[in-house]
Amino acid sequence: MTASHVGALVLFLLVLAGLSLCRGALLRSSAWLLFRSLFPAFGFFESVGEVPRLNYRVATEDGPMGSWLAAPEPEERGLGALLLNAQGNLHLAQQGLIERLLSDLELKREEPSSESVAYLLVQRLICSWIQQHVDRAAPLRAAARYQFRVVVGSDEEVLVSLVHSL
Amino acid sequence: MAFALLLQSIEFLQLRRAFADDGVWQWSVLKREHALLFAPLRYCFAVLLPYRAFVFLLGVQVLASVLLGLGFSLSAVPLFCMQLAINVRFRGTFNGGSDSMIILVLLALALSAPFGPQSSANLVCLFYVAVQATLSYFLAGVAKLKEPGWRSGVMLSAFLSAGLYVVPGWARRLVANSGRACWFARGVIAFECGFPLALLQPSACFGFLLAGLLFHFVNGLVLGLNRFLFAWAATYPAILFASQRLAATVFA
Repeated sequence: MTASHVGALVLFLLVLAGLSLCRGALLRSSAWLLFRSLFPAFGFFESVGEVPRLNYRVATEDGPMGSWLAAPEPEERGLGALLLNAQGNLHLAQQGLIERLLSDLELKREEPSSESVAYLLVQRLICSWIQQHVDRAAPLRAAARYQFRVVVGSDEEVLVSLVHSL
Repeated sequence: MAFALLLQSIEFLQLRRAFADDGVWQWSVLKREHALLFAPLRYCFAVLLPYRAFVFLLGVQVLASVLLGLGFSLSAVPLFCMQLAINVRFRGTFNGGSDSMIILVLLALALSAPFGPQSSANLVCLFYVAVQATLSYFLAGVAKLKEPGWRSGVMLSAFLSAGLYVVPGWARRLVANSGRACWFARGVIAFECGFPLALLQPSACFGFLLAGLLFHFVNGLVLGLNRFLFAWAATYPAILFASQRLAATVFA
């Protein structure tokens, strides 16, 4: 290893240290968050908090809201999922949408609103679940309005959405 | 890396309904955030990321990853750009840590591709990947070591039953016993915290890399984190290289 190699390595370590120091500040900005894959954070599972869960309920045009429904259960995996696990990774990405909605609301200190991208994506997720359920459950066929909420632990509500039309 | 990217592209193509114009990750919603971007970047993403163009991009990524697997190292440059665009479409990442590791390895491959195998650029890039991969284990290990719940195994059981992952029944039963959970958790902490030894001692390196493969294989089985297995395995040649190079020069 020559002196130029050592110099390049030292420079690289300094750049790494600099990036990790400013990572927190950069990732508070929405534009930089789009590029967060460039700033690795490897503190996996350092703490296991309560996992936020999404519930939703539906109503007909002028009827009362039904009871809260849980998210559709993800499918069991086979051994083949070690190679291709599209549905499992989709389930994790959907969970990521819920966590991102909560962190966006916390960072921006905003009320849940249809102006926020995170909120709109969770709304679209709920619509896709309702669509899936409509094929199977008769009471949902007449659904015209819906509402969702994020709960933790034993149904402690951390966010309740506005009522939306389907 | 080529194999990891190939599998990732196939998975995305299987999931294309989720990011179609009537899917969850609808482009017309996502593009609102791009208003904050530098205009040329915004224009590039506006061309690449709407549904049809994005499916085409995934097809190109399949071809480019096959080329990378066949040894065309320069294909790492477009692959890095495509991977960054894919992550941007999903507001940063689709699968968190594995996306970051893939980007990190592709960045190193793309930067070193135009230079020869003996160049300083190549050496720095290999060390970059090796150090980052080692840090990924070490930092995760230290974070767990600081938590009494992880040291006692309580958090491992809590983690598997938290509902975030679809965990097979056999895995839940295995850690239902507090003694076993404690030893599994301590085993993971010891492996992760001890991983820097792989860089410092070439004879230990093979052992750590085999243990790493087993670790990711079990994570794939238990948690469904298949992408992590291939993303991290892609860093192992760099760790092996760095370990041997350090032993031959610095520690000789």
